[in-house]
Amino acid sequence: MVFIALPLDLNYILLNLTYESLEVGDDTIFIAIYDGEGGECLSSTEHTQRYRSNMHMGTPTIHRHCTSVVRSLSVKVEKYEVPELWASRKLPLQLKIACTFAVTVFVLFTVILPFMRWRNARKELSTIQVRGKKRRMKSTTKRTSARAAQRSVRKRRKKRKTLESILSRSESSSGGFVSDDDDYSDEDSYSSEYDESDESFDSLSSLEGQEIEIPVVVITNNFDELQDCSYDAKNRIV
Amino acid sequence: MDVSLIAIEGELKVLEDEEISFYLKGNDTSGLNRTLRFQMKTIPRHGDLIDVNGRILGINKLTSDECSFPYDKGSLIKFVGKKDFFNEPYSLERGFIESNFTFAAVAPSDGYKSSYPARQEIKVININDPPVLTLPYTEKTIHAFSSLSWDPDDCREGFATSKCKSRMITDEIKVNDVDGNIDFVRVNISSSHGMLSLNSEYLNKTDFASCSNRTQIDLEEEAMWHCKGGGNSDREVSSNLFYSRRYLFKILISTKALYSIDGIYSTAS
Repeated sequence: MVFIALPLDLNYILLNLTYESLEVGDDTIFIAIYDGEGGECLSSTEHTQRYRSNMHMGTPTIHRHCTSVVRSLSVKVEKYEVPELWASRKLPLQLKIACTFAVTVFVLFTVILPFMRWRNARKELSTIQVRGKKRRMKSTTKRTSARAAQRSVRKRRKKRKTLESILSRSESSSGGFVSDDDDYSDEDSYSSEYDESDESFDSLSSLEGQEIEIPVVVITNNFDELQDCSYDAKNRIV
Repeated sequence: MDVSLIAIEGELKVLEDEEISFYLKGNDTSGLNRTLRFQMKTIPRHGDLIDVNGRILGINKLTSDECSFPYDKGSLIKFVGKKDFFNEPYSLERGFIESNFTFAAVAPSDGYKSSYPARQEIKVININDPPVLTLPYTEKTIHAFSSLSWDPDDCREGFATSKCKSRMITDEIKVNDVDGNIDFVRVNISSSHGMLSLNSEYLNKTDFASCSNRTQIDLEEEAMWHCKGGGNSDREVSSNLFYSRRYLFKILISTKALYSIDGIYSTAS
């Protein structure tokens, strides 16, 4: 560094002059003071300017030459022994804090966070598994109910067939014809019809071979046959 | 007191550390043309008055040299100022330092009748003196500074002590200049590979700015140097020619300068 100062102020300026080095090895600090005029010293113009600005009065200083004082200070820069430093147990608080923080961050990012993520993932996995089980359970129930429905459908078909046979017998015996409305081809309509009269069909099957009055609607234009049929149907179910 | 005797006041200028011979003058207006000698009423505080016989003139002492009619010559004495003393230029900081003495004309032939005292002013003009730089040691060992170089003695920024191993604190550097703070000096501090920092409290007493480009300031002279750095963690490679002794010798020869290298003063012819 090169600067201009008043000589006696240098006692304060150079107080605690600090030297630091990153390089290991020998170094030399040079302190040089140039006092005078011209060359390596201040010029006459600079002296005059500063002389006036400092409110000096009278005849200015006579500078006969440029004088210099050079002092050198040898510095031997040695490497820090890191193990010794750590072993000294006298680390400053800041370094201790910094080290602790670094270790904490390292542990946090390498151990704790991955562990937490792993745990969360596991948790999620177990949740998904439970949901799947529930779903499976639900589907089993559905299947069971479907089977039951099928069974009931089969039952109803059977009953329907029974009813049809009754009707066909009655038809054959009466010689008339039964309305097409009674001929259900659609299973759904079947089921809906059976749903309403499920018990009545059960009771019908139990009544097989018994004589009972069953209202039968027969659409015909042959009133003679109708009379015979109604009579037959009135008295007996085959 | 004889009013016909007159001591004539005067003023003289002398360069620092130089002696000057001069005449004390007086007159006898009585017409008696008495031979005069001069008596010191007060003496200068920053120097000595010596008469022709080499005798130091104290208070009330008479000069050996006589002043005879027609009194144009006077009485010869010599002023020798104290070493490094000067009273010009003066500043508000330094104040005005008087350097004068008073004397009276005495007629030894007429019962040592004396005149009223007169004042002789002496202005000692400053001649620039080189400053003296003292380092308490010439060699020191420190430990390399790095991120791991924290010192066990809690050496940190703003808390630098002499115990800091990672930093070298050059305490007890003394600068003395007999000229005081009259004239500014140029300071150059450098190292080969280190970082240098000045006392931050007193950076306001330094001037890095106005001399950073001296070609604009002084066109008459070729600028040999410019201010560098800022006083904080400055690096300057000292391997330039300037710091080699060979180069210093060249300067000695070329500028006919007085140099002090490592405490040995030498004058170039």
